This record gives sequence, C-alpha cells and structure tokens, in this order.
Amino acid sequence: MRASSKYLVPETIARLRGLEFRARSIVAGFISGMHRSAYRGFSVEFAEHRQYAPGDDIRYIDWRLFGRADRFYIKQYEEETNLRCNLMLDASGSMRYRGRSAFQALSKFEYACHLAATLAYMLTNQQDAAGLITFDRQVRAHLPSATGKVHLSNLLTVLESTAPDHATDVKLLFHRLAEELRRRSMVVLISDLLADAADVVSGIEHICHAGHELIVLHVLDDDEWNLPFSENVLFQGIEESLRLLADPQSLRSSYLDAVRRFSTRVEAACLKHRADYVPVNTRDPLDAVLSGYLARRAGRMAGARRR
Amino acid sequence: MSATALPLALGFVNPLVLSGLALAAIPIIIHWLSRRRFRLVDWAATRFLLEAERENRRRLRFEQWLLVALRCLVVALLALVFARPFVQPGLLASLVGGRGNVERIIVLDDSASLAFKIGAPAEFVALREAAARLLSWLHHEAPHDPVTLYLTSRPDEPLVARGRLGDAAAQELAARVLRLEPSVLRAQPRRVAAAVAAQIEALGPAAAADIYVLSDFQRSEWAPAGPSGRGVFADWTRLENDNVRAVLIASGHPSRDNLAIVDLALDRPQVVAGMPCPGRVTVANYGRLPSRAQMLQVALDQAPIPSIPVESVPPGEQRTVSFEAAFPDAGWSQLAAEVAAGDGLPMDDSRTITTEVRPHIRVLVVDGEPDADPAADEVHLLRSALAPPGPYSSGVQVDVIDASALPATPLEPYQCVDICNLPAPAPGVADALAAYVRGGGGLAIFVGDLVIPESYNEVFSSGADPLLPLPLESIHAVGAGTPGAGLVRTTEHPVTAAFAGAGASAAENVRFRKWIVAKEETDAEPAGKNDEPDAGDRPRVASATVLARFADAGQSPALVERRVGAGRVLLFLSTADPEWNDWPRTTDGSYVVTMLEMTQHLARRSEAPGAFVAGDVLRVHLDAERFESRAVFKSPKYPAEPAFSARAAEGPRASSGGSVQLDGPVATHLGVYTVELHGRSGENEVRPLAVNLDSDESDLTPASAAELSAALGPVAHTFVPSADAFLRGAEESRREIWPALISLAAVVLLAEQALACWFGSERRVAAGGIMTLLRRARFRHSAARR
Repeated sequence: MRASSKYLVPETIARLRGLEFRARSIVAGFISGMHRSAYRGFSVEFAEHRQYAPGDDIRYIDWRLFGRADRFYIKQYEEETNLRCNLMLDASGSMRYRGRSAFQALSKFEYACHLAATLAYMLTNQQDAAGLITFDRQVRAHLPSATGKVHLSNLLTVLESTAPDHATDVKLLFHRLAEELRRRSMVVLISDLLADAADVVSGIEHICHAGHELIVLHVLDDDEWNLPFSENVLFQGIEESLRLLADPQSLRSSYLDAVRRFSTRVEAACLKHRADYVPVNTRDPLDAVLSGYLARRAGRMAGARRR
Repeated sequence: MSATALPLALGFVNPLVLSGLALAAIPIIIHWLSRRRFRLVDWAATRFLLEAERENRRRLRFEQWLLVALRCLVVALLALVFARPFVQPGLLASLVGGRGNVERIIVLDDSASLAFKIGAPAEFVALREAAARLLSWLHHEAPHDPVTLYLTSRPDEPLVARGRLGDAAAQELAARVLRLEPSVLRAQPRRVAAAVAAQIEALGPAAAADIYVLSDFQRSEWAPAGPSGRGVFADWTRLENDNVRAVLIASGHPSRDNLAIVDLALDRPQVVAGMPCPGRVTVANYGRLPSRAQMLQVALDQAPIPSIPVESVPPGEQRTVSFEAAFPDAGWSQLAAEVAAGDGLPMDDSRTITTEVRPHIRVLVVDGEPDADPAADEVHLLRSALAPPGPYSSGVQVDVIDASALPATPLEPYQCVDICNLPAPAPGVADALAAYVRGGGGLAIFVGDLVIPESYNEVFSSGADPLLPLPLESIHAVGAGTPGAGLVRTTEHPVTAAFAGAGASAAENVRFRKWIVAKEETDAEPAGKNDEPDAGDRPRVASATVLARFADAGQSPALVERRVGAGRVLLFLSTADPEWNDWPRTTDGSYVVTMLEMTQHLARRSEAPGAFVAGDVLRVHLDAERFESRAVFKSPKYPAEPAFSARAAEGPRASSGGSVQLDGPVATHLGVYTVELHGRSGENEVRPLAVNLDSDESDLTPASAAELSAALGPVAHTFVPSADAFLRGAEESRREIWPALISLAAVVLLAEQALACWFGSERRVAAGGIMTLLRRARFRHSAARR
C-alpha cells in the first residue's frame, strides 16, 4: 500500500492536522460515523419530536411530554454516519497553465491534484469515503467512493496517472455526473471553470438539485486572476486556436471586470443552492487555502448549529 | 504679389535643422517596434481576454494613436525649436523663408545719377549700405544660397558670381560693396536683365531666384516712354518661371531737382582758326520749379570767354543759348561750357567738346571759261567772294585752275571743289570727282553756256549713285524786256541762311535771266527726309533736296543738294558769274554770304566726333597715310590710371576710304582723354577726346511703381519705396518664436501625460507617457550594464 504520493505533501498534511472535513448537510453514509445521516434513526443524538402516528413504535413515545401536553409525541434521534465525498477534478487542457508566481511553480492541474489528494487523505483519515472523477470533455476516470488506505492509494495512483488534455465541455458533463451520483454525497468540484458561465451555473444547479452538497474550488493561476503582465503579450489559446497580441495593461481593467462578473455569477449560483464557492489562487500555499476554507466552513457550521 | 503689402512670413534661422522633423516619426517607430517585441504566453482564460479586448478595441486604438500623435507633435516641436523659426512681416523674410536653394541675385545701380546728393551723403552711399546689409542678412538667413551681385554699369562683370556667403566671403564682399563709388556711366537695365535671365536660364526651367534690384529707378532708363520703354525686363518675362521673384528697392527720393547742360555744339561743320564760329548750349531743367537765371561760362582751351546769361528755364523744359567763339590757333581744341547750377548732381553742370581747328578751308575752283578780263572771267567774282583780297581773311583759301588742269590736279588736299561752267569732263575726271565726293569731299557745280545738259547727264548721271543731283533738261531764258526771275528759298538750310526767310526772295535786286531746267523726280520724297543713309541691307540712294527755286512760273529748281557717299554735291542751275544773272553784282551781300556758307557746308568734315558719352568706346579715325595704325589712350586720371595701347582692328570694316579706325578703352571718366597718334614721318599728334555724362542720367525723375510693375509684367515682384525702411523693418520686426514653441511642447507633453493618466493609471505606468518610456530605457540601460 502506498503511504505517500507527489501530491500528498507531508508538510501540508501536518499543517492541516486537527482540522476536520465535515459535511455541512446531511449525507448518506454506510457506516456509523461523525456525519449526520440522511436517515432518521434512534441513536443517542436527539433530533426532534413528532406527533405519534399509528404504526409508530410506542417505545419512542416521550411520556414526559405526554404528561405535560396530553398528546403523544415520538422522540426522534439523528443517525450519525460516515461521509461519501466525490472529488471531481478538471483534467482539461486549460489546467496545464503554470504561472510565474504559482505556489511551488505548480500548474493549475498539479495544484488541483494536491487539493484532491489532501482532501482524499483527510476524508480517509476520518473514516469517510472518498471517490474521484477526472474529466475534460468527458469523464476520463471514475473511482467510486470508498474508505481505506488501499482506496486512497488507488486514488493517488489515478491522480498521478492523469495528464490534463483536451478541451472542457461542462454543458453535458455536469448533468451526466449529477445523474450518475445516485446517492446523496458531498461533491467537491476542483476546476478552473473556463467554460460558458451559463453552462457552469446550469451544471452546478443540477448537481445541487440532485441533493449533493457541492463545494466549488475555482482554481485559477494568479496570472488569470490579475493579468499582471507589463509587456506586450501574444496570447496563444491552450484549448482554442487563438492568437491575440495585446497590451495587457490596457486590457487589465476590463479583464478583471470579466473575471469578476464570471466568478460573481458562479458564486451567486452556489449561494442560491447552498453550495460553497471557493476561489483559489495557485499563488497561495495549499495548506493556507485548505485550512482557511475548512476553518471558515467549520465556523459557519458551528454557528448554524447554535441557531 | 502686391506692390505694397508686406506679407507675414515664416522663416528659419537654421533651416537645415528642419530635417529633424523626420524625428517626429520616432514615436511611431517605437510604437511599431514595441508591438514587434512581445512575450508568447499559452493562455487558458482566453474568454475573459477576448471579452475585454472586444469591449475596448476602438477606445484603445483611439487612445493609442492619440498618444502617439501627441508624442510625434512633441518631437516635431522640439525639432522646430532647434530650427529657430521666426515670423516677420517684412518682405525679405518672405523671400528667404520656406524655400530650398534660391539664387540670390542683387543688382546694384551705380549709375551716375546715384551721385546725387544734397547735404546728406550721396544716394549711392545709402544704397550701397543697404546692399551691404542685404548681403549680411542673406549671409545669416540663407547662407547656403548662391549670391550674385551685378552693377548696372558693368553688367558683364558681376562683382561676385554665384558665390557662397561664408563668414569671410560675406565680410569681404560687404567691404567691397562699401568701397564702391557711383560710376559716371549710365545704367543699362536691359543688359543687366539679360545677364540675370541668362544666369537663371542656365540653371534650368524651374530654378528659383530672388532678384533684389537697388536703384533710383530713373524713368528714362527703367521705364522710358515710347517703344524703347518696352522690354526693359523682357528677358525676365520670357523665362516664364513662377519661381523668379523680384524686389525693387528704391533709393527713396521721389523727386530730385537738377539743372543740366545736355548739349554743347558748334553750328559750323568746319572750324577755321581766327574765324568766329557760332555755337549752342542747351540747358535743361529737370526740377519741379523754374530755375533761376544763370551765367554760362564758356572756355576755349580753358581760356574763358565772356559769360553768357541764361534765363530762367521752366520746369521740365530746355533752353538753348547761342554764343560765338573764335578759335585762335589751328589744331585740336577744347570747348567747355559750365553752369553754376548748385544742384545735387554737379557732374552734369558742365560739358566739353573737342574740335579740329583748320587754318583755312581749301577750295579748288575750276574755271570753265577763264578770261584775262576779270569782268569776263567765269570765276573772278566767285573767287573774290570766297577769298576777298585785303588784310581780312574769310577762312577760305582758293586755288583756281582751268579745265585742262583738272585731270592732273590732286583733289584730296581740298575740302571743296567748285566747277564753274565746265564742259562735260572726260569719264576719268568724272570718276575722280565722284571718288572724291564719296570720300567726303564737297562739290559745287555751277552751269553756264558750256554746259550741255545731255553731256552732263551722260557723264555725271551714270551709275546707281549719280553725282548730279538732278538730270538737266534744257536751257531756259526769259524773254527780252522781262526783268527775270528772283530766287526763292524753299527750305531752311545753312546755305540759304542769308535769305530773309522762307518764301522770300534772296535779294530784291537779284534777277535770273537764264538757267538750266532740271528734271525733278516725281516720286521724290519730301526734302530732308532721306538725308541719312538707311540702315537696311541695300545702300539707299539719297534723293536730291531743292534748297531754292527760281521765282518763275515753273518754279524751276535753282539750288539742289544731294549727298553722295560721305560727301555732298550742290548744283547751282545758273552761272557763278553775272552772265546769266546779276546776283554776283548785287550789293546786299547775299551772294558772298551764300557762297561762303555753301563752301562751309560742302567742305570735307572731320570724322572725329565732338564728344563721347561715358560708357562709349573711345574711337578715332586715322589718316592711314599720315599715321601708324596704333595709338595710346590716356584717361584724365593718367598717370594714376595706366595708359591704354590700341591697334587698328582687323577686318574689312577696320578701314574705309584711307582712314583707319582705332578702338580705345571704354570711357569711364568724365573729362578729356588724350590719344597719341604716331605719324609715319616721325611727328606725333595728340588729340583730345572729350567725355561727357549721358544726358539721360540728368533726368532724375523716378519711375512710378505702376510703371515698373507694367515693365515687369507677369514677373512676381514687389516695389519697396525705401531701402532703409525695408531693411530696418525686416531686421527689427523679426521675432523668433522658439520660446513659444518650447511652451507649446511642454503643454503638449503635459497633455500627453494627463491623457495617459486618464486612460488608466496602470496603463500609464506600463505603456503610457514619454517619461515612462524614458524610465524604461534608463532601466534597460542600467540592467544591461549590470
């Protein structure tokens, strides 16, 4: 069994120690675990009262409440289970881009692989199931979610054997994946989302409507976020046959507006469907990105529970 | 170009620096090069890029080229600053600025009229200073243009021909101009114009030339009235070159009063020693006011004779006064006249002529009917009339021979030959007489009983240029008891000066009883019209002039003159003695006076002109038998000015009729030159040659701007009425505008920077602004050094 991979950096793992990657919504696990199950059961964690209905097991009638309200209520308990998480990794050609200021000179794809590997490790480490789907214009690899280090090892092997290529076509792909993932799970989409905004939003909505908890890690290089070039640049499309000689300085403002409009639209769609939208700049260290996001997520979940 | 408007002109002190305007293309080149230098990036987020580019394409292009244009403008302005532009309302600037190489041709009038001065320095001094300042100005403003400077007195010898005005050359030329003095020659605008036109023509059909003419523009020379006035600038108009421009800079004196002696002449063609000789002096007033009465000083060989009063001369008119002078000695003499005009041009207040004074006039009288009895002798009374006996001389020496001696008698020593009642001579004698007359001698023919008209006609009327003025027809005699016909003058003539007046009888008592009728030419032109030979190719035969007629019914000619070659023939159609008339015996003296005047008129004339005009070639005619064909001319400035040796010109025109023509130097001084002739017998002769000012120079009336404009026709020109104002104005009004251009460049630079800022602060830092470009260049330079 493989215990390490080029995408699994010990320093990053070490810095993430103590953090949990927990599902915010209800997930359908297959063993008892730390996450709330989609199934109501009779466990130790009280959930709510419900009026008695004929057929209910009378063992769960709350007699104390009967004494106060003179009505039968059934006590319901939350079932805690383990998490199924599918990591959807964009392996299209656009992910090959490697900026000058990228963290450890990683390309977007390498950075995304690091993210995926680290998340998979964390999930595996907390007894959750992690799956992996790599795609470009179609699904290139699909490793169903499972637990265990052997599975993690397989997952890492798939990551290492994947090379970004081909153009992205999310229009049909996201819809097909939403259909294929029948059990509700957490879906982590790691992609540069360089596709038509309407198609991306439509895909996100479909995934969310399918009951999955979606986390969108929008990975772009710092060059793509900020267009910091100062000299004339002949831009040559990676996925398109485009050649454009431009003075980036003169286009920067409009470019940033276009990027902002795109990310705002995607973020709005995510918010609407209670999905997380995380813009990721490959310039930033992996651990900082993940720890920052996980901390914010944990904080939000804690706040929601208190409410 | 207007004759008065002085256009605002733009010129450049350093026009060559204007080539730096090409540097204005540098920003464009930088822009182009910068687009060629780029970084190749494989880019993923193309959709954002395309979206941004689509939104900004037109704006960016506009901003880009606006900034490039402003940078070009800054560089162009800086180039203009170094070219040192100036604006000037002066005409001179308009002719200097804005053109390529231009021929600068200065025509400086140094004619005698420019010596005029009253109080202030002579006009020429102001004009030459203006020319020197003009040269200096051209040296500074157009140092690369070739300069030519003509003097109107010497159109064939420009002071400088197409010279470049370097520092030393300009100073040297200006110094030469400032040393110039007005000549005594007349201006020759037509010849100068021809020389200028030839120079421009040699440079090609589109050669650019500016011609600066500095002159007093005398109307008589630059815009004379009549046919001679047309075409002073004809050679310039013929160029049909729009690039030729003329600036006429006048000396600035619109009117100058001047009284001048314009003519001095002796009335007699022969001057005989000791004999009184009448003369005339013509005084012209070219001023605006009547002249005051003057005393005319006349001197014979520098010995004054009593002054002659000259009454006031009205403005614009002439007055001729007569005098009488008697030259005491034979030989060459000078006659000078001077008037104390007190005007600004003294050189035309005097005039000198020279003349050959003969000891006497030698006349050969051929007696056709000699007789021992004076009363019956044909020529006794004629000889007495010409050379009366006694102590008093008539100035005529008479030799009488009979007809038989004529063939053996040489005629050359005589100035006049009178043949009286001579039978028709043999052809050889007639030919000798004809040759004598054609060579300049005078012949008087008196008829009589021995003259047979047919024979005379045959002997003297043969050939194309017959000796006989009119063919003879028949002898006419009045009837018995008839008093005879008188003699009537038909035209004014020196020979008939003794007659009372036109149409009057010569004398109350003169009666002609017999004469020969001459056949007049029916198609003869009016008398006096054909006296001079025509200038055409075919020698024209002069017609006869009837000076007097018999007062009979037929008005027969009595006295007929005709020029033959260089001499004259006078035919008297009656006898010289009283056989056919009683004129010799009349007591009114008209016969004596007429015979003396006839001899004066017919006698061989001296070939020497009375005077030359400054600018003429001094020319003498020598008797080839007496003198060698060489001579030495000495000017009035001799010995300060070296003598001029001359030899007879070669060719068929060099000599004529035994005389040799010698051409001396061009007369460039007023006064009396001398020419030393070397006699073949070892005896030398010194002749004086008087040189006077051309009378045209005395009329100082300037031509108007309109007259000059008409003379220049289509040639672009400007008339500047004052040289001083012209140059002073041109120099003082010049304003260099480079400070304004620097300010403008700064403003444009600031605007460029502001616009670059406005178009986007990041963009300004990266791509906008010249300062940023400079910073980048400096950074690259330092990076390369590192």
